[in-house]
Amino acid sequence: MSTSLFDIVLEYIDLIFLLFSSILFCLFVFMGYFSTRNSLHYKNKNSFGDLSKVMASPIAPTITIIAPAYNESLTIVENIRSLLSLKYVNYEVMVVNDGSKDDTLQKMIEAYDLVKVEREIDPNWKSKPIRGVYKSKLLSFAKLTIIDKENGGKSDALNTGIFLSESRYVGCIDVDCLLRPDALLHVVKSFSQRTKKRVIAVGGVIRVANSCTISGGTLEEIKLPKKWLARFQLLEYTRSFLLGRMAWGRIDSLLIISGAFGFFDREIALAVEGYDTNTVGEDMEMVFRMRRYMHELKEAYTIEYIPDSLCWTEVPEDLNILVNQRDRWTRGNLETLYKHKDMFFNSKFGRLGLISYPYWFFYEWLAPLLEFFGFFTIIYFWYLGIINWDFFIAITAAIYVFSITFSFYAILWDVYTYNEYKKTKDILMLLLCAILEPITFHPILVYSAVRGNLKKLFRVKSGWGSQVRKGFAKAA
Amino acid sequence: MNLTTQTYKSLLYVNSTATDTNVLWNLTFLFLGLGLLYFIFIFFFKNKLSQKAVKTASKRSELAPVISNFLFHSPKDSKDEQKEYVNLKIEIREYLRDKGFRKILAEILFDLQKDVSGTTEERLFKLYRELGLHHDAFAKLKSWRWEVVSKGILELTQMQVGESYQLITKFINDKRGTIRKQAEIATIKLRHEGIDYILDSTSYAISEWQQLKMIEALSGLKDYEPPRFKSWLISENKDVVLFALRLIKHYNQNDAAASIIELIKHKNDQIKLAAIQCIKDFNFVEAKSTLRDVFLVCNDEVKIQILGAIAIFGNESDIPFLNGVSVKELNFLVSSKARSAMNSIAPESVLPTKDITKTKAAGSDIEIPLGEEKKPSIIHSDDTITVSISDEYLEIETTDEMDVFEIDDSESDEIKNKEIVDPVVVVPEETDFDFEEMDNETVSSLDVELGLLSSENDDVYHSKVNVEEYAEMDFADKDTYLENMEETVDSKQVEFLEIVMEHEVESELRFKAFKKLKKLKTSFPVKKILQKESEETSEPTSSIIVESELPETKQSKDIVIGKEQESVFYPLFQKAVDLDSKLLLIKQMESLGDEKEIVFLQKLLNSKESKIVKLSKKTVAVLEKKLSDSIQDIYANDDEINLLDTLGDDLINPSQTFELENNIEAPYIEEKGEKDNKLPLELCFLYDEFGINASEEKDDDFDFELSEEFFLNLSNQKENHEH
Repeated sequence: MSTSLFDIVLEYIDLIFLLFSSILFCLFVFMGYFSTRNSLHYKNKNSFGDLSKVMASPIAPTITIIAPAYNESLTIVENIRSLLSLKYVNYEVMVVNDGSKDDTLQKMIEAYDLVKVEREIDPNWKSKPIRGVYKSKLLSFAKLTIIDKENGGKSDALNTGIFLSESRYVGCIDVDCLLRPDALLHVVKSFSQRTKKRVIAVGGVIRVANSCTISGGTLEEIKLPKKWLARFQLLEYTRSFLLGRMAWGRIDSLLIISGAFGFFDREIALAVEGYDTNTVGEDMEMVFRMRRYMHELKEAYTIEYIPDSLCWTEVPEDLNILVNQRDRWTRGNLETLYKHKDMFFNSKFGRLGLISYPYWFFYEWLAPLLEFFGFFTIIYFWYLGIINWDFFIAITAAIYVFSITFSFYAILWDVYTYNEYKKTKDILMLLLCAILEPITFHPILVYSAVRGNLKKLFRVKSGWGSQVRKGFAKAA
Repeated sequence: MNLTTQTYKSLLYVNSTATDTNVLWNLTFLFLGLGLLYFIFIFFFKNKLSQKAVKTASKRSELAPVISNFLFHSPKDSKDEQKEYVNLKIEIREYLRDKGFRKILAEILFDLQKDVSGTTEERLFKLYRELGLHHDAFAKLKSWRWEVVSKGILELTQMQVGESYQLITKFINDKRGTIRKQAEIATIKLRHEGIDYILDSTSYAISEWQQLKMIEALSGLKDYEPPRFKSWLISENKDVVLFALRLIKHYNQNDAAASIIELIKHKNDQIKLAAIQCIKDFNFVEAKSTLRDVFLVCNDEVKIQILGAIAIFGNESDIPFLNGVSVKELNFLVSSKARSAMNSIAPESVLPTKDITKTKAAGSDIEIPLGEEKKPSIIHSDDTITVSISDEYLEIETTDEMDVFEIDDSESDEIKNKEIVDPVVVVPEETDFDFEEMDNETVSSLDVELGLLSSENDDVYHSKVNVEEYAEMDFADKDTYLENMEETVDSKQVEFLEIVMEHEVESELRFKAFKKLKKLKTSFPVKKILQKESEETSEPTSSIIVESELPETKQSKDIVIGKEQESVFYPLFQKAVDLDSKLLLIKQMESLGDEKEIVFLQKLLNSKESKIVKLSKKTVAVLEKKLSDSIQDIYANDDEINLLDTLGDDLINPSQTFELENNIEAPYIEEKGEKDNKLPLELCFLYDEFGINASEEKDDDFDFELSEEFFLNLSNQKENHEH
């Protein structure tokens, strides 16, 4: 390679990285601004008024919580009990047993005195065959419905639930998620408080429940996770949910609703034929499709985001499980972006095509790849002896401190708005995590993302992976 | 440190900007400073929040006795207490000059208000005003910040400051949503006529959530007399119309039928849905034609609601419409709802057809020879076929002249002979033939060929249609119709005649129907083809039992046609949550039950609960005995009559035949203080017409029959008197 050509390559690399980093800095600043405004607005708006007063209103809209269960026998009974104790009048809990190989169904039948009931099924509905629909004989569990079906994956189970539900809204959650008792009130409020736009979906914050004290299906005491891996994820979730999604919500460009806590207008969800069973990023893909559908329908719509801590879940504490999870997220992201590639910088889709999609493309999918590439470039340059060390150290310090500052800002907002971790020690620990994260936890995420991309590139077959649930009862 | 280092040399057209390292370091320090600032803020806010909580708690405990003294003070208190009260008043006046104190005091009273009620609550409101705290709330209304104004409105509302009403109503059409919503709630809570004002004057949309909150606020009003909300059904604001509909439904104001029915035609789907809901709740039957008219132009959700309404107040005349929807509608949920509505109007008129598994009724096998093809028209003795009747309750009666199965090939004679000789029982058989492998077409053609099902779709309602036609005729036509009725043994014919016998007003016609029925039943042997009810799996299966009249009959079958739901005990049993309740219900059936309960009880024999099975068995025996006694008395004839025949569709053990005496008697009605065994008056008249006498007294202890001796004595006495 001639020196001049090599210099040109260097020049371009420099330019790309500079542009990329500058835009990222700007985006993060805007994100901080928008999320702050949105958080303040939300806090002020909801500082008065009592949600519980409409809890028992007979005209409250109906809602079904769909929880797919696969080999969850360890925790299923306790988790359902938690879901049945929510404060709302018109709701149904629908657990879809997705062909569990263990005794999940049997445990549910025994614990809730279930009997098989007749249910007419659309023969044309595309999902794995339903073996039976169960209802409890006991009036106290009248809100519970169990669907037993052949294994078809999470998306297929959720689709079955969406189809069999008769409610106006459906909530797709992970069965091991712990919902705050007033969660449904917040969700219904979000769905029905708008007059000019139709709310097609509602998403919310996912909080980390590892090490928390849970009793009788309710959260007794909030504690910081004991394991470092979970602590890093807690910080990451706080940053992502309180700043990132809050900001995207502010400009009505939210493209993802977490699969652990996502609620949908059933009519629209059915109109887009539910979740795509051929992708591992089904939650994001469905939101893409719902948005596209509404765009094509030319009907005013929005997606609401609730920053209250309504949903608590366990995060992986094992490195392998974490890597598998992030690997899957990357593949899901890539599959969704590829499927909807026509939206890329497409003004027809408004902010969605011009801001949201490009952001996801460059900063959610491409960024880890560039980081990975940058890492090896630096080693190579170091080997060639062409690194300007002063500049390298200065730019690394700037980025590092910026990332810490951004995490600090997320913690600040968490304290100011929800103040979930009241012990000074816990907050100090979170701050320490923010300092350590860029050099410890972040490289793991970059590795997982690269692995996911490679798997997709070389079409390595890989499914969902698995997470061994300790169960909330144990956590208690 | 080199402050002006140019990173790279310019080589091409595109150059990276020469980044000053110093700028980067400056940025680093800026971020570091910001980070430190955030760090400080984190602990500042944390401490502030916790301090505020501590401060409020301490103030609360400090002011609690003072407030309770104010709240519970009475002029009848002792002098010392009066003195203390006055001192407190003076003391608190001093404190009230402090804005912070006023704020905390207002917060405490505001919180306290949530926990008190009645007189204490009224005193609290009074205290709030006496302390002049409402002036602060009024001041908040003048703020430019929406959250402050909203809080002011909320405070005035919760503290029931009535004079704020006029001020607050000005915010009803405020462009700031939160203020507007707060003002709406306040207007309702402060005055009973507030809702009228909102509905009259609001020009903004009212969200569903807000409507929910307003209804909740209305529910909390004491001695509230709601206005007639129909006045707002003509509002130009569609949200007002929708809200008025919801209020009408909530307060059960059913005096706006015409307007509500008209609103089904509204463009807005939500209004349509709310109107349909009202129509359903208030049972506006007159809305039926409008509902049917708008059906086609509605979306699926509205269609489902319309069908739900028709299911509630529809009748037989709606069946064709529902059937049409069920057949033509592409959306499964809508067509399914149509079928469900049909079943609501005419129970079990539509039965499940999909994924029906076949079960084998013990000892009731009939082997229908199966040919090489799966078409049952060719029947070989070696094979068996499972036949499912999936569309409707069906009967087939066999006669010497009439073939059960229409056999169109050379083996027909053989088959005919076979079915005449043996009782023909066709039962679901899982092992012999997988019925699910047959497509629907094959199944229906099979059914048709077997004579089990008419090829016409409307066959299901055949007998009902007959009855309807008959009901519309005048006397002469009815007479002619009955006279000219073909005397063929058709289950529907029998069913029709039974209905006429039961419901016809004209005794002459009833008698004619009775004669016809008797003729039919005595002329022809009893054959029944009945559909077996579903197994415990809730997947209905069908079985067909064809019983021959021949004495050599090997098997006689229970007649179970999925009719257990006709029993009044069925829904009660469904709702029974524990074993004891179920056993109690079964026990009740013993004294109250009839044929329908026997059907139901026989289903219960499959129960897993041994207690239920045992008691059901016992109850069935008791009921059968009771019924057979009753029937024995009712139907007596010179000829031998098979009771199965007489009972029509209802369950009876066909093996029970009775040699009835020539002397026909009506059943004896036992006086038990209950009505369980009493016969309908109409039937008594019918017996009378037919010359059926009341049965004799059966009580051995009390004989009220007057002896001959008594009459002799009586006549002697009369004679003596005359003399």
